Amino acid sequence: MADPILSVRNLQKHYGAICVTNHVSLDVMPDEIHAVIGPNGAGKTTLIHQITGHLKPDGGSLVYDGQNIANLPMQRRARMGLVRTFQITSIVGSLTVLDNVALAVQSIAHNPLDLWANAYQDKALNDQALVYLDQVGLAERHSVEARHLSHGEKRALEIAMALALKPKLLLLDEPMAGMGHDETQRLLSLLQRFKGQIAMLLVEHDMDAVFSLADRVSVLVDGEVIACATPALVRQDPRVRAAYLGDGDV
Amino acid sequence: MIPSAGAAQAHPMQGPAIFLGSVLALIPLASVLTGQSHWVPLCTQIMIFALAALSLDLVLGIGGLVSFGHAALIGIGAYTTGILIKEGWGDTLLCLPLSMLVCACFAYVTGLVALKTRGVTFIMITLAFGQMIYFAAQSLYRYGGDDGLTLPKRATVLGQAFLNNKIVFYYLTLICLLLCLFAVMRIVQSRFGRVLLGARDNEIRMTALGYDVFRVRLKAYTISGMMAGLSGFLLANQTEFVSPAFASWQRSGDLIFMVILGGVGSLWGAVAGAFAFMLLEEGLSGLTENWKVIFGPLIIVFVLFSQGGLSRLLVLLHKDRGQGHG
Repeated sequence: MADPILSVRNLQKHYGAICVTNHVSLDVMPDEIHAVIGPNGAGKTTLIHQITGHLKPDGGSLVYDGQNIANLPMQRRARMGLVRTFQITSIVGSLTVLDNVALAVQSIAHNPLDLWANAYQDKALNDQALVYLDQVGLAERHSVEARHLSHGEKRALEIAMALALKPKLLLLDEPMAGMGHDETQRLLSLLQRFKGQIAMLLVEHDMDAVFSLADRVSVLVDGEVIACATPALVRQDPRVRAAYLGDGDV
Repeated sequence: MIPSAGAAQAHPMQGPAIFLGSVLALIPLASVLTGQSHWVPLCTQIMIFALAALSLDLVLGIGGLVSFGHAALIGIGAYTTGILIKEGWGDTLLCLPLSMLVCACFAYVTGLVALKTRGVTFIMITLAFGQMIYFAAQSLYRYGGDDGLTLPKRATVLGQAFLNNKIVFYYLTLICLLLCLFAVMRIVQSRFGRVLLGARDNEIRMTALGYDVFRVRLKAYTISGMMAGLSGFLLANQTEFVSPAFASWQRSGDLIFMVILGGVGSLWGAVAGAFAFMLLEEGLSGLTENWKVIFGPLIIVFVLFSQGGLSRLLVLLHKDRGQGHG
């Protein structure tokens, strides 16, 4: 069996006396979509923050692509292909849609911080950026200032930016949040398309999305992983039903 | 749809910059024809501050970093030049690069500390560094202390006193200003500039994209410091005098006003803002001794109603014309 792309072991994080990440261990395989579900306040976003380097864990280890990344700053992890999207959309609102994606393309291009040549007219960057915009269905909106996009479009833009970084592991923090039905379906089929090519760690509340996409599901309750199995098994797990799924309407 | 300030800043307008440059190139001729001989030194001085304001606009307007100690860099540049001249090393080929280098180093080292902070803390730290220079200059007893240092002469060029000629010095200043304006415009539109602008809007996003925002800002801060050092070199030569007041926080505040007056992040606006600010100051101080009573409210009213300074007004005027009123 292949080595996991991400291996989290005994991860711990406390805020004062409150334990938000309690000895969490989980693996993401290079070809899998691994979902993390759990009630509000279970520590899902905190977990993502620690994996990306936004927060420093109090203990435990993080191995990504065979490397210990626990002490690397966020930008280094991103450049290694450990790429995230945000729960609250995060774009550069005053730049155009195309410029936003071009910024991502530029980041892994040769000489990302060139001081002299005009970046906005860089055909190589813009052409590549358009390819990613096309993949998420935003190509015809490329010249709009990003702040004028609808919520769903901003989400799609974020996905395009993430893809442009050529991720090996994509951390998706509630990508469907606040999206309409059609937009959710579009995003689902997009993620489905990259399944197997890009490993994904998906935090999501939309159970239909989770169960249709994920290969494995970890259930996080009060900072602890209480179950990790295929969607079908997780659905039947009595502890999971009690802690999270509630009345058995899933 | 009106482009937002950010979108406009990503593509600084070249037209106004060329227009400004052309008008400024003709000022000496106009002053000879009209006999207004004080125009040349006045405009020289304004261009020197315009250069400093421009360098501030790179960090403040594009980088979103409100540095309240920018005058300290002018002071350091001026003192470096002044001390070199006083000690008999006053050749431009030495003074000019050394003033810029010392300022770049100061900006780099203080930036290492200041850029770790955000918001009000950043303003306060840059202010503190600025005041440090102010008081350090006051304690330079060998170089005039409180009273400042009167220079025996201007810097020479390869031993020749070219810079004593007012017209030559005017054009040297103009060339420095236009070169810097051109350079900053290039930088803003470069990959580096796009990251700097992106980080102003959304720092976390830029970090998540793999950029080391701190390093990018530090580089911008250092480049800006270097340009301010150039203005310090010019100022010392123009006034043939250096004083701690060059580095005072009031001067830093004036520079911020110039940038805001011209329109934050518009680059050429910083130049226009410097002219508006200093001509207004010049005009009003000729009217009454208490000119600041008029000056203050005037600026407040202008900033309130122009919503983005002189550059924004021009964009809006242009837009109205473009729509042609039906």
